[in-house]
Amino acid sequence: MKKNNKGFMLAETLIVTTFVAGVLIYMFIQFTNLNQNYDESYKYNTVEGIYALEDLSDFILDNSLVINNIDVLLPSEKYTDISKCDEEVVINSEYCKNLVEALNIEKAYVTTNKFNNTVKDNLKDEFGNFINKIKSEGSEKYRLIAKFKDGTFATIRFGE
Amino acid sequence: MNKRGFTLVELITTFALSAVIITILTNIVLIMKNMYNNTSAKTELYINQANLSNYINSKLNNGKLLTYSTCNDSNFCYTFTFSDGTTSRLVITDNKITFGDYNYVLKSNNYVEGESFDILNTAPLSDSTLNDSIMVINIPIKSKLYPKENFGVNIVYQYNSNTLY
Repeated sequence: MKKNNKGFMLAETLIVTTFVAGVLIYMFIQFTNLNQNYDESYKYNTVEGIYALEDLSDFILDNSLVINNIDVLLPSEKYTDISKCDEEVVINSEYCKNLVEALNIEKAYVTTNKFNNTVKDNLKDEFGNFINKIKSEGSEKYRLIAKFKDGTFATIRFGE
Repeated sequence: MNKRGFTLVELITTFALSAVIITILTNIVLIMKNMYNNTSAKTELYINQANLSNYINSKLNNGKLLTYSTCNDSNFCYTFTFSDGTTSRLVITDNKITFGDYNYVLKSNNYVEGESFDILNTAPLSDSTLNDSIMVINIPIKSKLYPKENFGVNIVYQYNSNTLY
């Protein structure tokens, strides 16, 4: 009986299929990451967000009592929710609430510029991937991190 | 017997595999081309947004606003007077936003919707030197290409009501 030499061996077929499948899966994963980064890039540190935080930092710095209260809170609590406009922190709660509303801020935290991984972990639920993209650099003393009502995020350093 | 060439099974397998790979790659290229086209249109809108925001914010913050008033105009129009005696007029029409000598002409796909001008006052503070009022100029700019996004500006100007009237 003659041996039929047509076609591929099973091993050959499996190897080629595995190799091609591996390449396609790798390309798909890279492309998904690229698409996600593209979508996210438009939501982080928008022009409007940066200006809004500049306005909020002006409010904080203009009032020395506010800065004193923050200086008292930060060593122990590591971060303060400034958007709540608590009277113990901001003195003029009504003005602060008007300002937060006008700036379309959903949540804003003041922290030290060089904040550690504990702060990142605690804020991760609120800010998601954005918190991982913040680099602790610069000589400024404080950092504002905010989430806006339109789903965008922004952060600035401020204060000497 | 002539043993050159490929078997039928080899050819069919190769063509089938190539067709699958080419289809996937073509899809990826088309998606990336679409992404590129969208990016350039969006980028232009964001650049215009940044320019408008920068100009108005700089003018209000650096120019020391003295007073404001509405214009005798059917369009959305306000006149701002600064301490150096100069004035800038903010006018919004169907396809153009003007602030002083800065003009932003909107393309046919873009339009302003729901512009507003508000003053938020709070009760006088014990420290009368602190800001107690907020001027909010909201100019939402929408695009038919991206209906869910806002490419407009939201200008917030904080001031002391004793210095502005």
